[in-house]
Amino acid sequence: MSRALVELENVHKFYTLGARRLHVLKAINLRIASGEYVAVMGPSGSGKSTLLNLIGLLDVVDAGDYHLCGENVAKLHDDKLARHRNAQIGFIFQSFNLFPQLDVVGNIEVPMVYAGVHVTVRRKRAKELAERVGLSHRLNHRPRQLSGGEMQRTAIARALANQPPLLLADEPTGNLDEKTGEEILGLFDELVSRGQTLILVTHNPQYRLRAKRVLNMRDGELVTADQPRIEQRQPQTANYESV
Amino acid sequence: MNLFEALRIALLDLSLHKFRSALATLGIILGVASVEAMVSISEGARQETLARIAVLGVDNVIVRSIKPSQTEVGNQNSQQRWQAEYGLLRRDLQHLRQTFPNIRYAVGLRNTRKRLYAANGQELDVSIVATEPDYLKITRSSIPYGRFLTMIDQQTASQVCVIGSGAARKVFKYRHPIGESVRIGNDWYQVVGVLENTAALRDAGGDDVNNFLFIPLATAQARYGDQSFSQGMGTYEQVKIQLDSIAIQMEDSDLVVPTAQRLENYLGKTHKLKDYELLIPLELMRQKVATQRIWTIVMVVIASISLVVGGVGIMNIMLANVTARRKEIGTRRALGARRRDIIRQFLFESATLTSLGGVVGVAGGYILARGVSHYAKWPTIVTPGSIILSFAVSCFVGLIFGFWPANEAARVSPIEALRSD
Repeated sequence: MSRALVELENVHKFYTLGARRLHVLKAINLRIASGEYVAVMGPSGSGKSTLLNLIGLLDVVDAGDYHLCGENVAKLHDDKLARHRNAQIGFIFQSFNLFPQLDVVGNIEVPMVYAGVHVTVRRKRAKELAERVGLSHRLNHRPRQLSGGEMQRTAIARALANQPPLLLADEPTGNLDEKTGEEILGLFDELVSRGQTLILVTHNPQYRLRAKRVLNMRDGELVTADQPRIEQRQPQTANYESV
Repeated sequence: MNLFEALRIALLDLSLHKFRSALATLGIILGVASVEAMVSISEGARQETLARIAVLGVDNVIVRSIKPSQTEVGNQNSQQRWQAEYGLLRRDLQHLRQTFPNIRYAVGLRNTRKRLYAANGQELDVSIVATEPDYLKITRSSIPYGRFLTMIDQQTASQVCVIGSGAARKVFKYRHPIGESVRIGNDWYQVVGVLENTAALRDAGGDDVNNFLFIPLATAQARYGDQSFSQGMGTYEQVKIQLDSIAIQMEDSDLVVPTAQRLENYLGKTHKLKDYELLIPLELMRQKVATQRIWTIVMVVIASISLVVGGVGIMNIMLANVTARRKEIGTRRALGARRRDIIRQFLFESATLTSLGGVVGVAGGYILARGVSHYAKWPTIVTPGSIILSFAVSCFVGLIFGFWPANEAARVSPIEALRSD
């Protein structure tokens, strides 16, 4: 059996909050194949952010096993985790998390800096990425000169910088108005159509419709993994596919 | 990431809070400026001291007769009458010339303690020193007019004199001194030359040769003998001295210390009382340099305190930076920065901050040193070494005081950091 891209086996995670020990993730078993578009849904405190942190190697599992791209990454040293995050995962945040001191190209370059890509190579690639997300007219703008949608596009370009097999997005449209949010989701659709694996955490039920697979979390457990109903897709989304 | 790129990033990071960064650097600027100014001032003082001592001649040894302490001399009677016989002997000089190797010149000097009168009978305040021809070379003086004393003057005990340029101005005003006559006691002396010494010997603790009148040693010995008298308020002193001092010039300054040692041994054996002292400009210079070095260290340490205060200011601002930029740190960690990348980034930032402060401080220190030279008339010397040192120290301060904040930054858990605003 070939390994899936993400493979969680019986994963547990605990947090100690004062004297209490919280069992945040309970026996999670999850396989996500390459090219999947997965939405993780659930109410606040259900553990979906923790799950995303574990998958994104920002945190380590307390029990169980985690294979990413076929490699066991459950018990890696801090530096190794950083190396894996850099090469295999692209993060997209709710509040964009751009660096205000750097321009669009500079922001997109950051993961390549940590990957040790030569400056001329990474600058060229950063420009290409910016063009790909539709920011060719904003290359040397600072984040505060950009609109919310442009900021998130910059962040997406940054997440794609090292061509990671896995993109993780935590409420990527949470800080955007509906129209801009749709544009961003359209960009995601395009990426997925090119074979990009994407895991998206949201509690906006609207987005479950676009994902090919929805994971519902409740009290630290994966309850269902249902398929979105195609017929409920909103027709106007097609307008944004071209982004 | 190369150095230039890291510097660019650090400058961009710092540009987020220009005013705050500038304020924090002020301490470093003042610290570096004061260290630099202190080093320049003490270097200036050191060079000046060295120059002063160097004019005495680093290859010279001077032996002076000194009066032994009263208890040693004894025989003071009820009429407070003194009769003392002490000091260097002609025999000592002869022995020195005959047996000591590597001596280039050695001359005896006698302070005649006589009064000098001008041709019109006016008393002149000029010391009369009896010496030998080689004295000119030992003091490295020149003769702008006429000639110095010669061996023939010595052999014939002739009544000629050479006058120092300062004394000549005082005595003869605008008249040409050569051929003029002056009177010592009842003897008339003809001025045959003017001596000039451009080095400030008096400032160095040497003889003020420009204000002396020189007569041949043989003449002084023949006419006035070894006895001399001095009368004061109710006291009357009679001393018998053969030579007031012996000036020696060695062939090489390396020979100064061993020769002085040997001379001291010889004098210690042949003189019953300690009625002489050795003055070795080279040793004096070494002592001065040592004292000066301690002084420099003390000043620099005091100035460094302000640098430490500046460093604490940097630490403070960097801690504030780290707290304010937790989210950036978390994001960088998520994008693949290792802890050491974060440490490096913040260390580079604080070092850049202090180095910029160092550059401004070095300029400030230079201006400060120039100001001190101009207003206080102290010599200051800004050496390239002090500039490099100040700059290196400021860079180092950034690394030292930036380390803790940088480490704090790297210790933040990425999840915690991402959650903060």
